[in-house]
Amino acid sequence: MTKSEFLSTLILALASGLGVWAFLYPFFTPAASQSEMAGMAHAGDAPLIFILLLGLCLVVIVANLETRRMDARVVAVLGVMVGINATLRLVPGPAGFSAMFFLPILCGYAFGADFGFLIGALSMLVSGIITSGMGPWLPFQMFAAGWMGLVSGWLPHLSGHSRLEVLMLAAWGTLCSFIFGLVMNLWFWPFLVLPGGGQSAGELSTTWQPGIGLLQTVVRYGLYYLTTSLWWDAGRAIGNLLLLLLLGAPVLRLLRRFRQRFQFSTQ
Amino acid sequence: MMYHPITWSLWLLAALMPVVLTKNPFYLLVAILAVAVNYLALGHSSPTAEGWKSFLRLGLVLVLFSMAFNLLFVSAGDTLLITLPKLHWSLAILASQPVLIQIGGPVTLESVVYGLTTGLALMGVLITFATFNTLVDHYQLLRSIPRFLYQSAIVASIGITFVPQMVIAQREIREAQALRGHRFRVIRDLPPLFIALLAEGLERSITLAESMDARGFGGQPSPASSGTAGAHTPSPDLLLKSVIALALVILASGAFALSYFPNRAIGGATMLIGSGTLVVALWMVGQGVQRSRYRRDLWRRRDLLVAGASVVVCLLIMAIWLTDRSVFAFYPYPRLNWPDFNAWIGLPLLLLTMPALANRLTGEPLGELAHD
Repeated sequence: MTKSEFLSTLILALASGLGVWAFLYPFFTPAASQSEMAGMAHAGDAPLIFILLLGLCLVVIVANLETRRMDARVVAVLGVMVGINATLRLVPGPAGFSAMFFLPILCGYAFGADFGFLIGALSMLVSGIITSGMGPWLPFQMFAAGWMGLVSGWLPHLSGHSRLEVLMLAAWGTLCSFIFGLVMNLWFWPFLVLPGGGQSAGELSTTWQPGIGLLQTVVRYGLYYLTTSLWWDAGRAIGNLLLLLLLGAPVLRLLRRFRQRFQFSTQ
Repeated sequence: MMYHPITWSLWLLAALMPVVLTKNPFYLLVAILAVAVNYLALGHSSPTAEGWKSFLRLGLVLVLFSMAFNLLFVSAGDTLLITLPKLHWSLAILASQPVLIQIGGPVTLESVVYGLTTGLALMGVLITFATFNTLVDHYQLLRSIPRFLYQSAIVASIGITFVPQMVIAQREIREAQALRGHRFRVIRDLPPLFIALLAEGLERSITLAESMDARGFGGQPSPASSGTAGAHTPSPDLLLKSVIALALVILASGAFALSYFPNRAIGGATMLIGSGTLVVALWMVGQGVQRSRYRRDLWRRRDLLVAGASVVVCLLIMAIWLTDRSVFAFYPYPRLNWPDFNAWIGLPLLLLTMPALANRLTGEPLGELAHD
């Protein structure tokens, strides 16, 4: 590992850690020492600060991956893959299902972690642009999808055992669908602040309150997740599982053949 | 098309600041109406006008959801409206901190109002982004991405260009397969369509890469960074990377301080220093990138008007937020009070309608489509 590679890895780790922090900040607020009004005043600006922080981390990671100076082939293949993936999101599915995850997972696995991050993050950007769906959730989506592609590149390579390989990727895709839902609620969950929820007895406790402590936050978020988003995520997970089982092996074969045929390298 | 992408970005920032930072329903309403005026004046010709309406629908759903949520789950507040049947139970997941759940019970005016303002703030964010999405030219926006991200901007442009091509290719493949007797009924019939589509896309990308190479994409004007000549001197790349890593460490310690110490000034200042260093370092990375462009975005007089108005709004909101942020706070509990309205804050928010007005003020023709 050269110095430059070491620094790149360090930057990736730091920026990712900060990004994860920005996702999880409702869990790490100072204990309830503030008066309630002060807490309410800060409830408004904390989400803003962390959305900005997340955007900055995303920019750093993407810029860091770019310093390797991708050649025209990588840029073109990435662009086309991003286009295909964004097209997949246009295909309507039952119950909000979208087939956006299986291609970043397979590409990340076949072409490496960097490629996986870029295809995941940029697909979200492009589909946000073409569906006019850009909003404060975009950095969160890009980050989550990018990480999914990145980690797919770190999975053990089992190119000898194609059946086992597909099973592993399908299991990973299912897990990803749930994690994606779990973290994507976090961008707006702190907005659903209910006043007095922590202090007085007899309130619903599935919303965030500044300064209620880590354990209480985890329990409340768990309840919120179980009652709202879990069922959507289950639908998405089943869809991804089916797609990966069906298309995993032929798509991987196609990607690897493509790489051999054009001496295409992503590292 | 209508305005320079930088103008639009400034306007987006200016429009977001009031809707994100204030909870006062009057200021929220003024900001939302001012934003909506732009869509009403300019948005009809846009091909994505349908997207605006779906954002509006989503916003209304969120307002209703937020109201219902507060109605059912919050019984704080003094002004009782009605009393609903009450369900409550306690979950002892953690023995020390039982979680109480209550649905129904007394419904108060305060909780309705609070739900309404929370919903209004979310609505404001949605409408602002919807208007931005409808009115901005996305290709121009991608072209003006800072130079250190130019490759991603190219990737995204290629992606956007390929979406319609891929939709057409998918239709052609489907027709060709149908001629061969393939019918799409269950999900198992998907691979013959999708694999062909993917193969088609990869073939096209090779053609594209060749034409990019032929036009000199990725050419390195200075061989200094290739590593053969300057192997012993530390390359500027390495230095910049160290600075970026250092800036991230500063930023992380700032975020840590912000989360753990009640005094937020230290954490905030550290984070500002960290992000400032980061922005400078990234800008310097961009200085090493050479780009040529075919089209330059024009900066017209009306851009100056809109940008100026946006900066005024930003500065005003920033100044109030830093000095006395209780102006923006609205907290109906325990007893509903009429929110304050200061015309010196409300009226400047109307400057957000500037995109709809600027071309009339300067008399410049709108939408020079032939130019693009």
